Amino acid sequence: MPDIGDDIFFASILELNQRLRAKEFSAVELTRAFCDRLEKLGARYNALALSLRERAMRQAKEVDGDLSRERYRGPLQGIPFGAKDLLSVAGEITTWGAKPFAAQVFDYDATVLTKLAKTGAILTGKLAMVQLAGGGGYRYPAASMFGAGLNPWDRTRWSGGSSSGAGSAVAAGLVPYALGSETSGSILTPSAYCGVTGLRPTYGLVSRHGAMPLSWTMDKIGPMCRTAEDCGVVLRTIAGKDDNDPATAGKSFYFSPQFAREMKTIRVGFAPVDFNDWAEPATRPVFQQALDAFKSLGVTLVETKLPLFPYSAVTRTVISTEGSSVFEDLIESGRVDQLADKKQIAGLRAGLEIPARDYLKAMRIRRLMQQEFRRMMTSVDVLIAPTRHNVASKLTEPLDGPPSMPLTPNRDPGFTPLIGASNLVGYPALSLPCGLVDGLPVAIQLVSRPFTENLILSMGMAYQKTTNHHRARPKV
Amino acid sequence: MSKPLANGVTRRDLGIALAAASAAVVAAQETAPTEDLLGAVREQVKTNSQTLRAFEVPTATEPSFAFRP
Repeated sequence: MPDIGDDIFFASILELNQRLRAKEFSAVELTRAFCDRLEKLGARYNALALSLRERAMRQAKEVDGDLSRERYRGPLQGIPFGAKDLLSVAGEITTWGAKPFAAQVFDYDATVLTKLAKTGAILTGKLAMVQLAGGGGYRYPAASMFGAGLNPWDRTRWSGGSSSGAGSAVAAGLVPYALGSETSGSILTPSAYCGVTGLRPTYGLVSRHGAMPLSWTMDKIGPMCRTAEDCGVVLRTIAGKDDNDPATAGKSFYFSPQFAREMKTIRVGFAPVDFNDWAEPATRPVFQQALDAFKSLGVTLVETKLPLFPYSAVTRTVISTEGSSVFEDLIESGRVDQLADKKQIAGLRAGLEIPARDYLKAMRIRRLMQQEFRRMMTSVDVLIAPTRHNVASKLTEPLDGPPSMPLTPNRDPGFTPLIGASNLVGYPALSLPCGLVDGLPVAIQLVSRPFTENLILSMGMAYQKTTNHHRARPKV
Repeated sequence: MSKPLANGVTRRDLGIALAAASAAVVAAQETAPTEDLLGAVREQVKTNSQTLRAFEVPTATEPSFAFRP
């Protein structure tokens, strides 16, 4: 077997595919190299839930057979990837990160995995996650049967959640890309903290069939990759209607960077207070540079205000009510007590007590949010803000502690509620690494109207053409 | 230098990972008893409820979920 070198572990999907087709290495060699690395280093970050080496090697042999007969199935063919352990793989354990489900096995594959398999993509492992994707609300990063997600940039810090293993595994070069899921922040947060590029698609663009539900009206599945271009390549494959998921919108995604809008025609809404005030002081110069970089690309920056709504109360009410309904049997049976975080247990129990009138009121307010967001987005095409206003937190820091700068009634919130708000209205978002602060990654997010992923992806690609932040690697 | 184990992970690596994970687990378990936490979470639910009820919504506003038969 030829030595295929360490650089492959940090190559993009498109780079790997080119080298595969140029026969620099075979799919079997590539897959073996990634399986070895995932198994060797996965535990170092609490990132690996389950290695799928045997299955992966079988698939890789099939891909090599196809390639030898010049049967090309696109850029994902022969490229390994990992999937958050809330996606079912037939016959394999799917834990949802939670002890009560430690032996759970489904007899079917999640739709997204079936779609990827058809293109020759090779699933090498299931990746760790916060238990039940954080349903109920957790206090500590250790709220997982796999332990806290450890950040490859500093293992005393959290990788972010709930797609913690996906963030760590992509950042540490254990997989070229991964599938994560987001209800409210679970792709964007680990992408930001681990320094990878993460795309949360429009609600309804990607099937959730075979994925653990947490909130039927908010759950999304999306890619976490090295580049915005890779995110587009993966989204093109996993998007589309699925009769098994009644929420799918019946739309496909045609990745078309060749038809990208000219940057000078794009109006980008931002809130100066995010960059000057809400961002932790040490991060401000980096976020300002990112804003300046987009300005240099030619976009027009427009000061914008989010419509005023009780975003936090609506987000909590919707996710708690739906999540506790999903896990009603777990809660009522008492097995919920096996979870690793006591606050989460209490949160799941309390969710069953939320009155129907509160849930309905939250869903009615959501309707108004959609209307106001549509109105706001007639004057701008994209919103930009720090993905998180800080670097990854220490593992021992409680996640529900007081914010470093408390909210006060007269203080302009800027876009600080953007993650919750954009999830509530179902808009897509792209998180782009934009630099390091004290050796830890920070990221900027772009949010656009439903089903306009091409717009934010093309902006991400333009940004990544002129910067190298997405190429930064932790010392693994 | 730490000697690698069979799987290539050094004892030092394992030690750091286990210490970090167990410290966080211990911290998580050292929280107040579940009853207190449940009370605190119920208070949060109540606050959310009050916030939602104080927010005026036009009578004709339908909830934002969609059901397609």
